[in-house]
Amino acid sequence: MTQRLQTLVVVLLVAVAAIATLVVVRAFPPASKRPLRTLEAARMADFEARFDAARDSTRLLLLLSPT
Amino acid sequence: MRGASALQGLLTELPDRPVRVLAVWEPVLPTDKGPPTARVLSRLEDPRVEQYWDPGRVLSGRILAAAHRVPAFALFSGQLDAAWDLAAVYPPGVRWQGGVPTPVYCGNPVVGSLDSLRAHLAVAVALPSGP
Repeated sequence: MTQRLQTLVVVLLVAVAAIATLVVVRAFPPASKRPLRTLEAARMADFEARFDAARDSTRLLLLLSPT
Repeated sequence: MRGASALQGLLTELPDRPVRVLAVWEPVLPTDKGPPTARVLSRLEDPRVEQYWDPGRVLSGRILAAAHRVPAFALFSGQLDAAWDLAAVYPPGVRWQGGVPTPVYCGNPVVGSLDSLRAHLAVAVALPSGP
């Protein structure tokens, strides 16, 4: 095996490893640090209480689409 | 989703300031098949953020219902489906009594409202805390 071929093999292996790492990271993203609570009509009072509990702070209410 | 990243940027500009964020995700687009993924949630990584999934668009319905009485939400008065891609600013002291409280500012869409949001947040965080 020539030195050029060896270099090519190493480069290919590194590229494959990088792509595999990228795929794994995308497939298993780090878990969010904070929980995702479900908002339902029956539990709206809890949400309102959370809003009021932070009344010493400026609050920002966001409504967003996941995609 | 870009709005979440933009908001995270605003929060980064206000480190250690008394700001709390209630981020509510709701299905609006045909691609919204379920709750936000961990990757999407991580766009709002600030510890001052609480995140909710609202599959029945309960909060959106409350905002639409309030659109006729809350000037800041009037921009949604003609929408029958959902209020979304919005950021409403509440200064200290405001409480949730009855319907959705009146914000001092409501930006929609979020990405297009960043400058106004930044200005209103700066004013609000400078106000004294409520009773």
